[in-house]
Amino acid sequence: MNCAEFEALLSDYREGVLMPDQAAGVRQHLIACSACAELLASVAAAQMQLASLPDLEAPRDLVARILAQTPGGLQARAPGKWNLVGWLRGTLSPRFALGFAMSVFAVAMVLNAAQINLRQVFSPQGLRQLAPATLSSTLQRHLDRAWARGVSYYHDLRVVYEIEAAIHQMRQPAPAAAPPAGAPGGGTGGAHDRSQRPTPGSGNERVAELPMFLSPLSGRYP
Amino acid sequence: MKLQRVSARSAARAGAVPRVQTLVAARAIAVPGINVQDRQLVDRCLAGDAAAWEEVVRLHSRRIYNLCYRFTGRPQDAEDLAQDVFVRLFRNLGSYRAEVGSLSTWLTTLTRNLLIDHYRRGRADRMTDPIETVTPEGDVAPLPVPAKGRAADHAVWGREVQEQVQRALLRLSPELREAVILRDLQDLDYKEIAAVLRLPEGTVKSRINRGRIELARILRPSLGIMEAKS
Repeated sequence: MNCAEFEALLSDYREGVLMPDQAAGVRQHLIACSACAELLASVAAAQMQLASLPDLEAPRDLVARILAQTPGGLQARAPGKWNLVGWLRGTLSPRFALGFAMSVFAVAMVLNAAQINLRQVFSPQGLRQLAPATLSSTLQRHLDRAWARGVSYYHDLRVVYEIEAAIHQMRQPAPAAAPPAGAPGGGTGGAHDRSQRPTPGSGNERVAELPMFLSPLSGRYP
Repeated sequence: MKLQRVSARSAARAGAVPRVQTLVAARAIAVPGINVQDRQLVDRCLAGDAAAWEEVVRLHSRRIYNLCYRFTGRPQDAEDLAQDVFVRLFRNLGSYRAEVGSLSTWLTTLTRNLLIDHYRRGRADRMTDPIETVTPEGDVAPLPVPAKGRAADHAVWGREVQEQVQRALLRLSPELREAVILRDLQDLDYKEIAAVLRLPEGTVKSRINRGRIELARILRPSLGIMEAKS
């Protein structure tokens, strides 16, 4: 028997419910292992201390407070009987009201997203709105529109525009004659043209520095 | 039933082997007559008998308060929780089924569920508390008054020792804590604990065993001091 096996049997051993051969195994282990013998003694002491914890007196007004909150036995609910008053009282609690409001809000959001008009739903044509095919196509249309809006919003952002412009400019080879900054370049040549950067102090310093700052960005937004 | 339980506890405190008496108490719970009495009492409550309801509250409130206090370590929380337990019991009295178990077991299940909810809420609060206010060992408020007639039993252990044991209990995980409290403090048998926790008996036994070992390891450093004092 090892220590883990002993630990698993410890309470059973103390309670004397082990089979004779198991109990003998435990005793043998206890002779050989002083740590487990010590643990057994500690558990015995801990149980003694637990048993010594007093039963505490409940606060004097506890029973009175409970009885005040549960007026007599009169309103205890019988099985199967629906207690309308109790139910209505429950609905007045802030938690219920908040939950109810959130549910209404959530349902309204979903109906709005699916373009379902409740006033039309109950007409014969209105029921068609609830057909799965209609619902899915409406949802698809909404998603597409939202995506398109998102994309155009993103492209319209000033910072995006400027970064794109800068990257574009950076990719353009700077002509040897150093035309005004931002002018569209010829677009031919690569490494050779790029090496002909304007010299510092030539008026195009900032343009020359730009690629240095933007190079990490160009990797992220190719 | 109550008398038998009390005798089991005093036997445990006197250092005798408590299991025989506890088993007697446990068998008393399984006797159908007990549940019949519970059924009648509940029926009277449902019929609007205020005295019957008061009897239920008086019969069980101290035990439930003790259970709550040992689990939370705070008298105020224990009082609030015990009150919640009885309010909930009152609302759900109609669903009590005597054939499933005694009112006492049902009430213990209710309490245990509330205690676990309370523990989870507390844990969420602790996560959002500033670090310096969180005490890893749990702070134990001053002990409430011990019940009369028990003074001689626990006189050997000082208040300080009781607080140490209570603090050690709070350091156990809630799963081990509830199992140890129900077994070693409330004297429920394995079957009852299995019913309360809705777990197989084997799991209950293993939790109690692990809980005791863990508790012994927590208390071990202070054992020498306690023995010297006693």
